[in-house]
Order: sequence, then C-alpha cells, then structure tokens
Amino acid sequence: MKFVLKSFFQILVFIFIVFEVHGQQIQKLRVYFKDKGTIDFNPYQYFDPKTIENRQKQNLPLYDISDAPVSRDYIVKVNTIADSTGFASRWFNFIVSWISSELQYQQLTSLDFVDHIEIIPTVTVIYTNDPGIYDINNSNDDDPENLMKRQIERMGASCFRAEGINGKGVRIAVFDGGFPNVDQHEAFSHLRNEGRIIKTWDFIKNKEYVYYGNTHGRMTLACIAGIWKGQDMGLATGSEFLLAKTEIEREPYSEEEHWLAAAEWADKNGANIISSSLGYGYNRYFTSDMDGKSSLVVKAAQVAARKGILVINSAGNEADSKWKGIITPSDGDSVLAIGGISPETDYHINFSSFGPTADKRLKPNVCAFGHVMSLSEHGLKEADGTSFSCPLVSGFAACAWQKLPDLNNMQLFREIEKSGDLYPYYDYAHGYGVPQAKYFTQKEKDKIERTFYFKESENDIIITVLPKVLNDSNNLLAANYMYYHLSDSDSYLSEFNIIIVKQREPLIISRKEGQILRVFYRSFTDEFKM
Amino acid sequence: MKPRFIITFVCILFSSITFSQEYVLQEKTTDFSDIGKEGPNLFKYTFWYFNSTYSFGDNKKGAELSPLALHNSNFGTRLKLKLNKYLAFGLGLNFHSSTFPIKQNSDKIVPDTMIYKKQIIELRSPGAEAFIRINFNKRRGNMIGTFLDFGVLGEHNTFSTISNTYYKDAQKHIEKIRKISFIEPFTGFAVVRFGHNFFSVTASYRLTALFKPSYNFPELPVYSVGLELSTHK
Repeated sequence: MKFVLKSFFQILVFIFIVFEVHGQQIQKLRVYFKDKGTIDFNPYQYFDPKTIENRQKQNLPLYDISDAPVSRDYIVKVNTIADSTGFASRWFNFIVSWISSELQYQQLTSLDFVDHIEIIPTVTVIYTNDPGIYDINNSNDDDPENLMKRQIERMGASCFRAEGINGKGVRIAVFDGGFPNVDQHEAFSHLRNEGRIIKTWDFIKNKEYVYYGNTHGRMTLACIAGIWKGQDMGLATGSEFLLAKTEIEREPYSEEEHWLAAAEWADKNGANIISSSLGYGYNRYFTSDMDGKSSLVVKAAQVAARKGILVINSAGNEADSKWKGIITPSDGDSVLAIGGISPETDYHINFSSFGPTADKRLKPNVCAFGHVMSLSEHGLKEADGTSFSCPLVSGFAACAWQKLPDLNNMQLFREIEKSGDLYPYYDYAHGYGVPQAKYFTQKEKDKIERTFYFKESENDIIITVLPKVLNDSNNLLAANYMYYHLSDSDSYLSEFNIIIVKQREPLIISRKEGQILRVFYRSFTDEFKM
Repeated sequence: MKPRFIITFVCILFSSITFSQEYVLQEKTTDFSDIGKEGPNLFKYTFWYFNSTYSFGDNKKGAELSPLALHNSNFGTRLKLKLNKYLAFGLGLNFHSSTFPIKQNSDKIVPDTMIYKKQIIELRSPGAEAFIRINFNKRRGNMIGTFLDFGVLGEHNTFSTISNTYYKDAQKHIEKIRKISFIEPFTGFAVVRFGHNFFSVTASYRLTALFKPSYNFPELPVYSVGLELSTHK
C-alpha cells in the first residue's frame, strides 16, 4: 500500500509539474480602482473640440467622472508591482496588468486604492471571422455596379442625394482588423484628399499606422464611404473618419479590451458614430450571456452610447451555425444591431443572426443588404456578411444625423428604427426592416392604405387581401411578401414568418388564446388579439 | 375509374392548391433561443476520445520488458455532467488494448521460461470510468478550456493472449495462446489528465495486480503516460 501511495504521489507530482509550467505563465489581470485619485481633468484640454461640440449639442456633462483618465499615481504604483501594464480604461477605471507570481497578486490586492482584481484567461484560441469574401471573378452577378447601386438605393440613397446629404460633418469611428491599402486605394482618394481620415490607431501594436492586416476593414469602410469610378458604394461619402485596428486572431479577450480602448479613443476624438463589424459569440460565451450586460465589449458599447455616440454593430453571421443568435456587442439595448437581407430575395439572408437577446429584447433592430459589392486591393469584390450590412446602415445613420442634427444619439436610434420599411411590424430576422431615407427627407409621410383585413371563423383567423391590392400588378417579388408573427402581450414573438401572397385568402391561422397576430403586407400593418 | 372518384380527386387537388401557403421564411423562436442542456460547457456533454500511452516503472527481474514496443491504446466515450463553473463529474466507457513485450533472457519467468524470438502478452479490456473534472477558465463559452481530471477506471481483461514468435527450420512461426489463466480478470487504475480543449496529457497508475497471486509472478510496470485527443474543440 505504501508503494501504491508513493507511486500515485509520483504521478501527481508529474501532473502538477505540467500544471505548474502552465501556471507559471504570465497571468493577465484587470486591476480595478476604487476611485480616480486626485483628479486634474480639463475636458477642453483632454477632448477633441468635436467631442466638446457633441456633448454640448446633446446636453451631456463635460465633467463626468468616467471621462477623467485613470490616476497616474495608481498606474505608477501598479507598475512597480506588476511585470508590465497595458491599457488603462477611464470608463471602467481599471488597468490591464501582467504578473507572474502569487506574491505580486497579493501585493496588488493589498493596495488600498484597488477595488478588485479580475483574472483574465490567457487561453489562446484561433478565432476567425469568415466574412465569406470571394472574388468578383467568381461573381454570379452579371453587373457588379448594379449591385453596388442597389445596396444603397435599397435604403433610398437618391432621397438623401437629392438634398445633397452625404454624411458631412458627422465623424464615424470604424473598428476592424486592419485597413490595408486605404491610404492608396482610389476609392478612398476623396477622404485622403480632403483630410477626412482624422485619426488612426492600431490598438494591437499601439502605433498610428493601420493600413495593413485584415482586408475586412477596407471592405467595411468601402460600404460606408467608398466611391468607385464615380459611383457611391456607401452613403456617408462626406463624413470624417477615425480608423481603429482592434482585431487580432489570437488572444480573443484582448480584442474586447481593444474594442473598449478604441471606443474611449473614439469618444475622446469626437466620434458621432461607431461602426463595428465585429462580434464575439460561441468561442467564449453562451447564448444566455447575450443579455446586454455580460461581456466587456457590450458594457463598453453601452457606455459609448451614454457618451452620445451612436453605436452600430453587425448582428452576426451565425444563423446557419449552432449558435444561431446575435453576438455581442449587438445584444446591448443601446447598440443598433444590423441584420442582413439577400439582394436576390429581399428578405433574411441565410446566415444573418436571429434575435432576440437572452432577455427577450428585439434584435436585430434594422437590416440592410448582407451581400454587397465591396473593394479588393485594386478593384471590386463581392462580399457576404452582416459585416457589410452594418457599414451600409452606418452610412445611412450619418446622413440621417446630418439631416436632423438636433437629435441625440438615442433619438436618432429610434428614428432609424421607425424609418424601417416594415415599421411598426418587426421580427427577429429583420428588426423593423431596411431603413428608408425618405422617412427623413419627406415632409409629409405617405398615406398608408389598408391592404388586408382579418376575418374570424370559429377556430381560425383568415387574412383576406383587398381585391384592388391583389389586382394591382406589382412585379416586384418583395411586394407579394406577407410578413406575420405571433407575439405575447410583452411583444415577445413565438414565431415569425413570410409567405408569398398568391390568392385573396393567403393565410389561415388557428386561434391561440392570449396571442397577438401581427401582419404586414405592402406597407400596412395590423394586429389581431386572439 | 368512376366519374365520382375523378370529381373527388379534382376537388381535393383544387382545395389543396387554394389553401396552400408558400412560406419563404418560417421560424419558431424557441428553435434558436433555447440554450438547451447539452454542450461542451452546459449541463451534459458526450464526446469520444482516443489516447495512446507508454507504460513505465520498475522492470522487475523475471518480467523485464522490451521498452520500445511497449504501449497502450485506448478509445472510448465520456459523459461529462457540469456541477458548477469549476467542477464537473464524468462517466466513461472505454476499450483498452495493452501490449507487454517480454524481454527474452535467461531470468524470465513471465509467462514461462521458454526463450522465443519475440513474446508478447496482449490484453484487450473493456472498462468503465468515473472522474471529477476541475476547470480553470471561468469564461470559456462553448470551449472546453483548461481542465484537470482525477478518476478511477475499472477494466475486465476479457481477451488475453500470449503471442510467441519463433523460427523453426528457417521458417517464422507465430503461436497464439488464448484464455490465459494467470491474468486477473479485473484491473483497476487511478487516472489523472491535464488538458486544454481537445488535447490532454494523461497518466495512470495500476492499482491492482495483473497476475494472480498463486502464480507468484513479478508484476509488470504500473505507470503509463501518454497523449489523448478528444472529438470536441
């Protein structure tokens, strides 16, 4: 027995040596402070004048404690204990630190100004976003410029353009994995020539140069502000830009810190809009975490919104994966989550993540094309993903804000929802539909005429289309889509559907007590309480 | 066919066309909003694994082993039940194949005193396992993350064979002896694994004797260490 115990002990020692090797790795921490120490903060010196202007316009305080930088004294003291320190968040009042011993951890814990310490997993996983980019040579679209035109015209580009609206005066921060060739590409020459790339920062390498890395950033920027051979690819060709490289394929938790750092940087430098075609899901969260409260990145997005920034994020490309739902930070209630529709069918594109959030809030909020024409290194490229729906709507939001500059960010958020072509109907694939420019430009709203009515039988509700509508020859396939959903009294949908109307009574629904049936057909929405 | 059947058929066809609803999108929210209970870090998770280990330990006189050919392979399935963020309990079924090549020298007494060109004791043993898993990453989403397992494994030595290779008249002969009487029917192991996601280092210690005491054979090595791959990420 003694031998057995001795041998077992030897095995344990072996295993713990393996474990210790792992354990001796440098440990990453977030050290949170109790306060900001001695505050010497002058917002007029600290912020870009554009930030001051944004805050004043939205009646937001300039001296909010969360705007003051992290105490230098605290940083110096943590630096003397930790092996190294990194990003310091003024919004959340922490500093990222790396230590390699238990003693350092205890020393940090014992500092009287330290509130708590969060240990960050240093697991390295390869995390790839697959934007499904493929070359124009493989394109199925016979006329690439037609798709390029349609991706903005679907949102009513000509209504904005007729009034000369192009996002001028609105500053958009774009977060992505790199912006290769943006400093040379002819599609961005208007931004460069007019000095409208205001600032750039690489949060991975802490340097200014961002024109390298993942081509995803170039492609998303193209969908906001690119101009290819005189034709607009996005709506905000007149906006100003802040470009932040935040993505790295390894060390996933750092990406969220980089996102936060970029959001603070964007706020400091006067961003009105954050356009983020990024998100985090399966590899590090459960769907139950998509509640707008759990991830660091959603907390960062929520604070950015409180600072007056309109945060726009892709809903995610997970509908055809195990995850299916939205990814964070799209789960934030102040984050405008953008779903994707197919240009061919004009409804939900198969990969676009479904809502709602884990706490049953509506997501996505609105949608746009999820299959677009974007940019390759020297030419055009088709691309799939809500990564591209998001910048299309960011461009739209910039134009809407230019049109209605007195709105604050959350008022604009609600107005963009209301401009959706399905509004007031909604579902978890499209939100309120594709935002429409004419909502912002047209003084008198279109009169919406009834297109159907509900007919009751003992057990069923029969939706009956008005004869004049059915006889109205509209060749557009989308014009024949009837959207309907069943919801409870809290507006939570149990199901949502689209059918093609081919007859006067296209839909018969069995009565379900307590449920509300809402139907949208040709711009008209009505509901029936069962 | 009688006319009334034709009329009935036409009526049924017509009615089905009249009330057909062509869905282009049909989604039930529960299909994608329910988290469920099964997943890498949810309540229960089932996965397959394969490991290959190398036995080592005291090479006892009379039962010395040829080291290079010595190995174990093991495949099986495990069910992991989550207890909390850091702890899980698991059960497993496995099939274990062990190969013990006996060094052919004048001292050997296991399994006999004959000298062959090559002599191998092979065990094929189905077994069952129970283990406790400690997880080290609090936030790991649907990834397994880093873990340490402690477990016990019981196996039944269902198939045991001695394989003797020898040359006679310059011809190679292989003699297989099955149903070996001196092997204990059950073997128990203590098992430890340290892993990250699909990859782990595994080690075991044999808790019970391999040979029946009445034969008075020296024991074969009790330790084994190796690598394991699982079918999950």
